[in-house]
Amino acid sequence: MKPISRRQFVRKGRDALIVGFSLHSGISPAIAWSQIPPAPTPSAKPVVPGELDSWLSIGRDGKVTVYTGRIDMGTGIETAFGQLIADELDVPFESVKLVMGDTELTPDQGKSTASSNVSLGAQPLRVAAAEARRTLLKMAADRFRVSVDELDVADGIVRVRKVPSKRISYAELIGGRRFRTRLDQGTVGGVSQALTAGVTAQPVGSSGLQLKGPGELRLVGKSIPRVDVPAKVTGSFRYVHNVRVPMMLHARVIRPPKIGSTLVSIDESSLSGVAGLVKIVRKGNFLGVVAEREEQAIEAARLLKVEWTGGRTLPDYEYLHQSVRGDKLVKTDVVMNSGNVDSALAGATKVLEATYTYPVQLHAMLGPSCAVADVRDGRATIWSGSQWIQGDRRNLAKMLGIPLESVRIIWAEASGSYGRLGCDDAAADAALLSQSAGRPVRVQWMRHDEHGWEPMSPAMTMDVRAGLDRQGRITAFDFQQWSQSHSRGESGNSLAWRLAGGNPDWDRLSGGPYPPSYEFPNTRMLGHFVEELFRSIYLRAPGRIQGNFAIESFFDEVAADQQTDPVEFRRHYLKDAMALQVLDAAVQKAGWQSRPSPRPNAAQPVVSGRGISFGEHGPEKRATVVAEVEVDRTSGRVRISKIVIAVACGRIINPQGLRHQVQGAVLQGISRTLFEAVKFDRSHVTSLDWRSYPVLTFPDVPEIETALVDQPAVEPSGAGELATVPVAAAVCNAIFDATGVRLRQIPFTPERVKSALGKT
Amino acid sequence: MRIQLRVNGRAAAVDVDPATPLLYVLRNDLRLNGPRFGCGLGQCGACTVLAGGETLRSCVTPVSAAATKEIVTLEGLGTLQRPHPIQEAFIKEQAAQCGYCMSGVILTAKAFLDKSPNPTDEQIRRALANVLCRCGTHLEIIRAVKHAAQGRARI
Repeated sequence: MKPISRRQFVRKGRDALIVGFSLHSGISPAIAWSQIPPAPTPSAKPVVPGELDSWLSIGRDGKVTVYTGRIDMGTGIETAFGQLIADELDVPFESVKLVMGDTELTPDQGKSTASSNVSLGAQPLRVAAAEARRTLLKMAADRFRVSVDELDVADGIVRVRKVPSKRISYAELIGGRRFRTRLDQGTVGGVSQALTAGVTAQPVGSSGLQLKGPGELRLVGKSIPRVDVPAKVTGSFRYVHNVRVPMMLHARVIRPPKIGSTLVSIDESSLSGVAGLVKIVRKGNFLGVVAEREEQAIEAARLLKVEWTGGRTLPDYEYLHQSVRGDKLVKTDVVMNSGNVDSALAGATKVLEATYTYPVQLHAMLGPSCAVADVRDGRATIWSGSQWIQGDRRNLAKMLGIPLESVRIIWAEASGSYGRLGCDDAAADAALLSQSAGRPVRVQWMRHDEHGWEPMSPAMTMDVRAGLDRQGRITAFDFQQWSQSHSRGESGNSLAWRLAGGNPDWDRLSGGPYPPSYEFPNTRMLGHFVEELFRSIYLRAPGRIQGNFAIESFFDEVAADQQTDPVEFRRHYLKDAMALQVLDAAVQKAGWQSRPSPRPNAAQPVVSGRGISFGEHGPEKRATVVAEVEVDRTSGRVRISKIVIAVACGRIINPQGLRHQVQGAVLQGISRTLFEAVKFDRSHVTSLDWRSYPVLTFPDVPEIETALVDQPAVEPSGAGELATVPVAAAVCNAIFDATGVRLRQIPFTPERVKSALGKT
Repeated sequence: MRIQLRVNGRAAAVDVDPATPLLYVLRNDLRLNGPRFGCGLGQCGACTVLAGGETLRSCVTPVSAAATKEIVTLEGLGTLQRPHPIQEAFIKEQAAQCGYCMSGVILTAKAFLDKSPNPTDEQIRRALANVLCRCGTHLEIIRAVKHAAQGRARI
């Protein structure tokens, strides 16, 4: 293993983590890979949002270190942030290093979720970089006795414009020292604003600070290669799974046979033959085994005889979507109620209605949840892939019963996240296990733990109705959905804490419906939140992906009923210019021929068709997908041959990075549409591996053409959720175009397609 | 039991239960991070290593069965400083997002290209059919493998 460099550590010994903020700039949270005991000590570096030094430092070598509470989930955020910062500060891209996610080192920036890293997470970093540049220019102006207006700056070197020999570098001006500059609180904002602010207008706040405009950016807009890729393809990348600390033990968890089962007894003698066993840890219904070696922990978890009792009986899988509708109602949200839908429906010439259903799905990250915790002597250090380290810190402190100041969370990248994952759950597991074992513990979930117990994306049942007048125009649009909240597994509600008892039962309701993209005279959107079936957490575009599937497929049904081309039909109701621009971009790229669906296909064994869907994600993000499919009428197999997608998500920072994000989101959208559904019996989940929960594989991958619609005047934003939103309906509509059969239940498995075709 | 291994061109001896899956020996005893635990069932490919040039799922292979073979892990194929041409192609095509699947993808591609130096896209897809990527990096990966094959053809 590569030893930690001297620069990264200033002093050895027990209090090794005195961060040399004022001495060295290259401090990274890399202690996890070192052989030095992780002993959290008060850092000299501030982390409050109002101090420039909390965010940024410049070393004697001119290297810039930026500290962010946001983290990367494999989407290239580290690179995108670097581009934004280097542009704002006028330094080379290569000289910027990011320290991400360490409660001792980075300011609180809330959660890295909802595709908001670029839109919101980067904002304070840009402000800090701009403030640093302004401070440095002022220092240079004082040094040369000129005004700031007489200076130029490039690549971290300030020059007097008319006297080129008068030049000084950032390193000479500030290298190794603190700025001691206050930042405009109103703009940097701290947590609350960083989470709620919309796109930030320029200039910034009342301080006179200016962020650069689109014309002044050198790196933003360029396909800078991602900084993490070389290490990832050569096996040297630092994943949370690779964290090793001295004296570390290995653990596995043992989950109950049913949700809510009570642990009656453990037969310790069942592990008498297991070498290396250190401890069986039980706390309430939380159960784990700790061993010297990883394979010993796996073996112990497999062999331990446990008696459980009780637990919840699950509904019949085949009738899940009916039972969701009948589940105990928690709350109904009226998201939109314009005009009078009931009377418009009563007065309509024709009413069309349909029910669409979306299954329980998994994030199914490739590397199961993993964390390392060292909970000893009233202190805790936890290495986790958490996307909300500050929330995790608060919750773990409470769960462990130790003061907040004594808990440090150090983020390390986990396997790809498509929402949020079991990372916080593994952190809680590791923390409880380490606290009990009195040594550092690494825990990783087995595949069956991950598939069976990760916080999932819940099932949704959706009713859609449209009232049409004599001319076939939609006068009333009525949408209702039934689903549990998508955030029942928010970090305060970790699995370990639930099992151990005493968790705070997080009750935020999320994943409700969004107003449709279209304008109708009368519109009603209702979201019925029902009680929990499985613990849940956001999976890419929660609520939107399901709602879009129902609404955009239903819209196609109405267009077909009116024998109108689906694009023409959408254009009629789409009032937003950006939406129309994105719709047209996709239609043009796809070479869309105007005609109604279904296509008049001969009764051949394999038929083909095309379908379109429009989607949104937030106020300024639009996407359109055109799907081309082939349906094998004999086997029921659907093959997607081509996807054309147009996206607009503001100013493009890194075109190649964005294209890859879009492609990834489309492919995951296809996977969710064709293959994915969590199955269960009356006791528990039965989709416990990759055979019983199949996902997209290489032979299934279609050709994808992407049209990136750049909007230089709109602040940049993420696309990972946006691009996945319209996929399901586009595929659904293409299958209808090919076969004349409407599928209303995800996933479109061969059995389901065949059965639907058989009914015609 | 003491077991002799040859990994990434070096000899290594470990004292473990011979039934221990090779993966845990590589990761925890030899401190190699390329192979990773993905499923423990041989289904996803995250634990892939090369053994005598053939792909091997180290999560379901007892360490004793690997003792006679020349094992190569992702970090043994090439390094950050000196990446293998296939790894170079992956960097050029930016064919990684989270990257957790890289051992499976790259080492499977290596074994495949050794036998089929001039593959079509379709053959590449089939060769990678039993390797999972969850981030949807498939198209970049296919391009990178193709790119690596073309790079080889030029030599």
